[in-house]
Amino acid sequence: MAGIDAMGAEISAYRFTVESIVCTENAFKDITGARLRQGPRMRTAGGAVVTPDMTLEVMKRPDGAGYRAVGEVKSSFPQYSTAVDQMAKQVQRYDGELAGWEDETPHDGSGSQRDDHDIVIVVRASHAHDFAAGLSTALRERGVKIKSPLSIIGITHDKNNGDEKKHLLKRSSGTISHKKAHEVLGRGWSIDAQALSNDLQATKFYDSRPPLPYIMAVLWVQVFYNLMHGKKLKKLLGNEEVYINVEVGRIHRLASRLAHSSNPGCVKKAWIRDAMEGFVRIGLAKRMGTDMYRIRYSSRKSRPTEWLAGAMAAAAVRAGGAGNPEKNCK
Amino acid sequence: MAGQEYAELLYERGGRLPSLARAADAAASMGGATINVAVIHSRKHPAAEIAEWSPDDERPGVSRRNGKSVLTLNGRGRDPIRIAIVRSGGQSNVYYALSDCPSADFEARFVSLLDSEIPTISRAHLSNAEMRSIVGAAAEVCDARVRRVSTRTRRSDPERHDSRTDRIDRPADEFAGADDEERCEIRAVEMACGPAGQGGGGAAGAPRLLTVTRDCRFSASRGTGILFGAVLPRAADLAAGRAEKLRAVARTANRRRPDPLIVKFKERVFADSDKNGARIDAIGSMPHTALVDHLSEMFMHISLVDYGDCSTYDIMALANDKLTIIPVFSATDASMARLVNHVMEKFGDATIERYNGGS
Repeated sequence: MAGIDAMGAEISAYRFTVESIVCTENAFKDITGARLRQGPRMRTAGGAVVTPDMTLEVMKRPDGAGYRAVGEVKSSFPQYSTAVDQMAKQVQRYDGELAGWEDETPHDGSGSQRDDHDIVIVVRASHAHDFAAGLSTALRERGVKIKSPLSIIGITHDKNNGDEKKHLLKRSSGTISHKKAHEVLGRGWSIDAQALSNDLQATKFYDSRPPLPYIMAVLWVQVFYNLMHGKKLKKLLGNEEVYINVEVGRIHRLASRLAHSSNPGCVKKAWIRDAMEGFVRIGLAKRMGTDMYRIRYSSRKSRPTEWLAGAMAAAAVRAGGAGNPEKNCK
Repeated sequence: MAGQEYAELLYERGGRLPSLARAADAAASMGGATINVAVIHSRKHPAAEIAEWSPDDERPGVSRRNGKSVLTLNGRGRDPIRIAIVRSGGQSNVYYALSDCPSADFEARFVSLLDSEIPTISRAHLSNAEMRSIVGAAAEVCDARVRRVSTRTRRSDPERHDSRTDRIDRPADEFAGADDEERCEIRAVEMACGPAGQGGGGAAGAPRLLTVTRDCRFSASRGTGILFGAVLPRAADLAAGRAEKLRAVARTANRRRPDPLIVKFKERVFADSDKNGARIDAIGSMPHTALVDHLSEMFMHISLVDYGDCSTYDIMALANDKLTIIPVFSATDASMARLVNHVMEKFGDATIERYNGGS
């Protein structure tokens, strides 16, 4: 089904961003000792709030050395000029003064500047060259010159490194102000995927809204199950349906454990409400009151993502008026 | 002594393990019965768990005497069968379930009940090395010869394999020390056991036959002394060692950073990422589970829930020969055993270890 394939591509892109953030964190942690925060809220000099995918910070030492960067992951290369233009705008917003660092002390000791940070953009290695060219063109057309050191890092699965699966991060263009990181990432930095397993397990979500069937499937497989015990488990083993009363706040607390430890607040209650409303639309939940739902749960669906995506698509068709001539006529 | 009397010894008297073993030996060696044994692991007494979890129409009768529990399985017009359950000697959570019922009934009515309905009881599926170790345990106490070996050779597709059974005649100690053939799993070994110094056939006519199967089941005819004296204790040690590793990982499930379990396969079964779809299907064929494929472009990554109990996992193939299993929120050692047994059944011979090098 085309719609489900498209949903699969959307989930895959979402996971690419999560994996890239985890890889970038670990690469910079290993090379520079930087700490990562996912999705921090920051403020530009003009007062606008920005939330980059991540910040990387090495706290300032007495000798003045330290390192700061905002990082953004782009899972796909924008195909249209407006999208490239938006990307250039985003980079422009990250340039210059930003407030909201863990260590707000200026690295140059001046006591006033907050603009001494890098901008790091992580993309698929196969897109890195085109991405750099497209961004450069868009910035030139906007008449913008970026003052912060800007680098494009390509990420790929390293297939030429024996039996252990590895990720390879390589700076394809631009400058990283941290000398060691600039040199090492220029040559390429390989990360053992095994060392990332805990982070990958603990990071199902980041601060961008996940595709709806994806969050619904994760709730179905890894969250609702925490609310069932005893007789309900026995019924599930017997392929019987069980009913569980859930409260959005409790689901939200459990789902927040599936976000990076630096960013447990990234999972929004609104995502959980939307997911619960999704279950209502496909007949698997009933709204019992404000933020209260009754879920009809069964063990019959062994692959909930595909099944939920299909049910959501069918529900959308129904709501779109397949059986509603008036609406179709509009 | 009539068969009925041996059955009485086995199920009515017996008591604790030594006298039950003597009763089983008498039943097998003189009555001609085949004794079937399954090695099982359970935190609480298995008889209580089986009584609690069995479907209403299959709930067994349980009698308990002298530290031994006997289950009576009725059901659907068939003759009842009885299963005696005793705690293994040295391992507190490992039990032997034994019966003189026909092997087919033991498999279809008891073992399948455990596997499909009782989530708190686990069984250990053995690796080739563990199978050989158990054969070696018999060779240490008697003249044993391997007479029959059933093997399964895996093709590249996780669901396809070639099975064969070979009649051989090889000293058990030699078999125990032999190397494995590539992609080959030992599924069952039949030994002929005689007193030390008298050869596998024994001096007193027909040899005592002892069979070990990969799912940690045993059968013995014409005597069970070697079974209870050497073979089962070795199997119990192996099962307890496996369960302890799984328990140590399972108990970290509610931590922010749980300990991963690494299942290391002999073969590079995850080398070709184009086959990840088939591999996910193979894992998803585990009964009573549901999974989410995270659709990673870089490696196989799924989340799985085991409907047997409150266990959820993340499972990743981060090396060509390894599967990383991370318990998430909550997991039990019984559920982890089911999962490990399943992936070993699907992807071949493996060892397990706790991963301590997490970032």
